[in-house]
Amino acid sequence: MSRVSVITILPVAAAAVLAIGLYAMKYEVARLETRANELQRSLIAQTETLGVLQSEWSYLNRPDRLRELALRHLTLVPVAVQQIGALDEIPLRAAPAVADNRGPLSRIKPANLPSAQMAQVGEREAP
Amino acid sequence: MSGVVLMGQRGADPTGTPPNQRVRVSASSGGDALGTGHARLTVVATFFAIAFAIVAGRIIDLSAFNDDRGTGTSASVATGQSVRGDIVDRNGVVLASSLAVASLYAEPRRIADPALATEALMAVLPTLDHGQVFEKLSTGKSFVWLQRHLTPSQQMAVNALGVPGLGFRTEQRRVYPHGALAAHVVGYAGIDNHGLGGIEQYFDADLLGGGGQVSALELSIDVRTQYALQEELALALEEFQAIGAAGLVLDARTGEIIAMVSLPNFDPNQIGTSLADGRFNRASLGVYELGSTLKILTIAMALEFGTATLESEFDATEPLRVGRFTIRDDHPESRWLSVPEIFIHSSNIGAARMAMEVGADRQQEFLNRMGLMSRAGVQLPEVGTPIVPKPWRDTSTMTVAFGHGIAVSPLQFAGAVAATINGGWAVPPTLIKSQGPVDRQRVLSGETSEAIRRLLRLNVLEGTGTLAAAPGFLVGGKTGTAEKARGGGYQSDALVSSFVGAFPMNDPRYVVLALLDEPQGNDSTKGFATAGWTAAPVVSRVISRIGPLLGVEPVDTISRTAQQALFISLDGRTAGAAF
Repeated sequence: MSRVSVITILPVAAAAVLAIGLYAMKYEVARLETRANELQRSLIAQTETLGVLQSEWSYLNRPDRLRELALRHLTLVPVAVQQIGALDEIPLRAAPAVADNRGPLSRIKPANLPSAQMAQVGEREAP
Repeated sequence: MSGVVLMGQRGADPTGTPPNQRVRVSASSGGDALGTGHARLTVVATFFAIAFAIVAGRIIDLSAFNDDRGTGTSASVATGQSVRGDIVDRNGVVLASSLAVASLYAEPRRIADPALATEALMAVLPTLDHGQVFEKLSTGKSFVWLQRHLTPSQQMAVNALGVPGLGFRTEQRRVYPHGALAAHVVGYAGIDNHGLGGIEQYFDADLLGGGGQVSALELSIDVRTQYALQEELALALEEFQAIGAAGLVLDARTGEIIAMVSLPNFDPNQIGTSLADGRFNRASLGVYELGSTLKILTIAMALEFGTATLESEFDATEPLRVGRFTIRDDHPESRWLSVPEIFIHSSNIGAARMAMEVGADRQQEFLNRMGLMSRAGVQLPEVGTPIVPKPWRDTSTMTVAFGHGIAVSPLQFAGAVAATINGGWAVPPTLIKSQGPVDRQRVLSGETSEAIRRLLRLNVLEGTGTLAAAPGFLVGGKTGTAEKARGGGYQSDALVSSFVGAFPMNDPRYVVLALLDEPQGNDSTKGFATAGWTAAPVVSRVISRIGPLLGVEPVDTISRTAQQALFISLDGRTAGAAF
């Protein structure tokens, strides 16, 4: 008798659990579908907005408009070719003359801060 | 799932479970009804077991193996509308885009007070016609369009009115943020969203198929360069009261068209009001007898076939009589001229003699190789077919040598010039941004190409092209002034003045071409309308503006190294090496 009831109750219980599960699942799916549609709509709307903004940006960046704005608000002018130079055209400070045959690294002591070295170089060049 | 497995076990393993023992027991006791009942039960149980097994299998199949559900739908498919793809320039600046715009309609039946509604509408859309709107709203129809393609702010304003019976319908509209700039390149699309000109027409299928989901179509055009070229040409057009102008900036290494201008132009946003002359692309569809600029190719041809060297000399003492024609020089030197002299004095007689030594057959073969005998293969529907002499007589050989009797589009000519100066590689002009190195075909030797570079530079230093010089850039180039043909003769008052230049000449990066259609001389040009006075200054100004934009390093043009690298004496001696 107890065996029969187990056999009966178990499927019934399983069916009940399944039914509840299915019900919950169905509503979850419906909810997710609504959400997916919402996102889809939002995506379309955002894409359209993005397109409008990109076109607007391109429109506002018309070269003639930019030039007019620059003339009105800025004191800048286009770069002239005379203002463009190569890196090796910049003169470098002359290398300090090394009096003895010790290498340049041998002079460096912990006390020799870069500023001290600069002063030293200046002194040596002065005469 | 677990429930299904449970049922499945029951059906799948009948012998081990109690009901079957009972079946066996009842069968032995001989209870017929009970046996039948059990048998039916077994059948039904088996049936359900199989059914559940199928459902279980399907669930496993769906959950475990079919992962693609739901990912196949994209936004554009969901909208159910075809969205035309964007067109952008080489730096990603939007040149053409499709926007969803609202169009305003009314349902007059639902409008209680047409007069009031009209007043309200007029307040936010002042361009509407008061009488017309009132009439439309009073009809009692169920649907009537009021205004197509509202701007977003107009739509908001109408919405804010809160008038019942007004509504919006979304439509796709093609917009061109840069308007007339690059209009001939981009082209335009009609109201049905199909391309009717330019890139829009050439790539119509691709732009429609793209659906806005693929990356935008990237052109080789640079909007900043395009603007500089257009503005300078427009100024020249106005100054010299020309009827039209065309200009090109071409990458000499890749054939990419960085800028292409044709004036007058049109606004693709208002294509309905544009004129046919504005829509005509003078740079690619128009074919012109370009005059002396063709001498670049004549000299390249003579050097290439070995019929002349830079040091050869030709007799330009007297005008050349051929049949009923007499070939004259505009500025006769009336003496023997070397090849560099023929070039910088632009001697027609010398060029004609050079071409005769090459011969008609080789000349045609050469021009064909340079792409001047057939339509250019650029990605536009508006491409002009060159007009070449038929039959090709000796007279043709001579006149073609200085650019008469052959009419080509400025675009294909710029492509040919690019090949003569870039080291001799054919570079078919293209409007699509280059995606890397392309297979190039050699059409000229490197030596010929270097000779042409030096000649072009010489012509700007002390020839007809001095006004094309731009400070800081090694500009080279050739003028070309041709009289327009009309009814079998030429008119001396209708000229096509063009200048084809390139920079920097020691390693040419860009070819710049400017062409003015029927310019008139003025006081600043001492009355001259020839190319050296009208077109050359345009090229100078364009190069000064675009050089820094395109990242061409300025050099000291009078430095010893710069001069030596491009040196060529008038008797054809060269020094240094440009490479």
